[in-house]
Amino acid sequence: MATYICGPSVLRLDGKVDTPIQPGDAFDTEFSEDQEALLLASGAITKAETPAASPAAPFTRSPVPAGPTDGAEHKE
Amino acid sequence: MAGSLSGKHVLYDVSMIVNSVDLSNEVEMVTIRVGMEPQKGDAMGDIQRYNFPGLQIVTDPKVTWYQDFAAAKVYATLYAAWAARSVFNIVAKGQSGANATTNPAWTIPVFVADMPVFVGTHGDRHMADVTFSIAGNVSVATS
Repeated sequence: MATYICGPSVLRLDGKVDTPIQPGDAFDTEFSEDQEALLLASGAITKAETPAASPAAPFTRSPVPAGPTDGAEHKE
Repeated sequence: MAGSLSGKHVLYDVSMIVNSVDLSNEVEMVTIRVGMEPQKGDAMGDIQRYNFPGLQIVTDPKVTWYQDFAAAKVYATLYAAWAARSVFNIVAKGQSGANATTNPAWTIPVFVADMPVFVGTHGDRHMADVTFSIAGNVSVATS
C-alpha cells in the first residue's frame, strides 16, 4: 500500500477505491508493478512524498547546577 | 398506436477508462463489437451450406479521441502503454453512471495495436484514431 497523488485526469479504480479520484487528490492503494509504471510514466499519478525522518536530537549535557560558593551557608 | 421511447437513448455519455485513467471527455467515437466465428456444418446429403457457431470473437476496439499531449491525457496514456509493450484494461460503458443491467461495463484486456502520433490535414481538428488489440478474455459487469 502506498500513497499517490492523482494527476490531471480523473482516475477510476473500480474494486480498489469506490469513488472516482479527482485531480490533485491523495489516495492510498496498491497497484501492480506494471500498472504503477504506466501511470507514473503518463503523469496520471505521482508518488506522495513520504515525510523525511526527523534527525535524532543531538546529545546535549544538562547544565550542571552551580555548586556552593566557598564560604557560603550550606543549604539543602 | 403511439411509438414507445422506452430504452431508446442518445449516445452522449459513454465512459471510456484506459488503465484506470478516465479519458471519456475526449472521446468522439467508439466501436466495440462482438461476433462469432462460423464453422462449416453442412455435409453429404445437404443441398445448402450452413454453419454452426464457433469461437466468440471480440473485434478489436476502436476509439477516436481528440488528440491531447498533456500529461495523463490521450497521447501520454497511450504512448506509455505502447512504449512499455503493456497489456492493460479498457473499461467501457454506455453511460458514466453506476454499473447496472441497463448499463453494463465491459472490461477488455488490450494492447495498443495502432495509434497516430500526428495525423491530420491543415485546418482540421487534431484527432487520434486508435485501435486496440484484444489480449485476453473480456468480462461484463452489471453491478
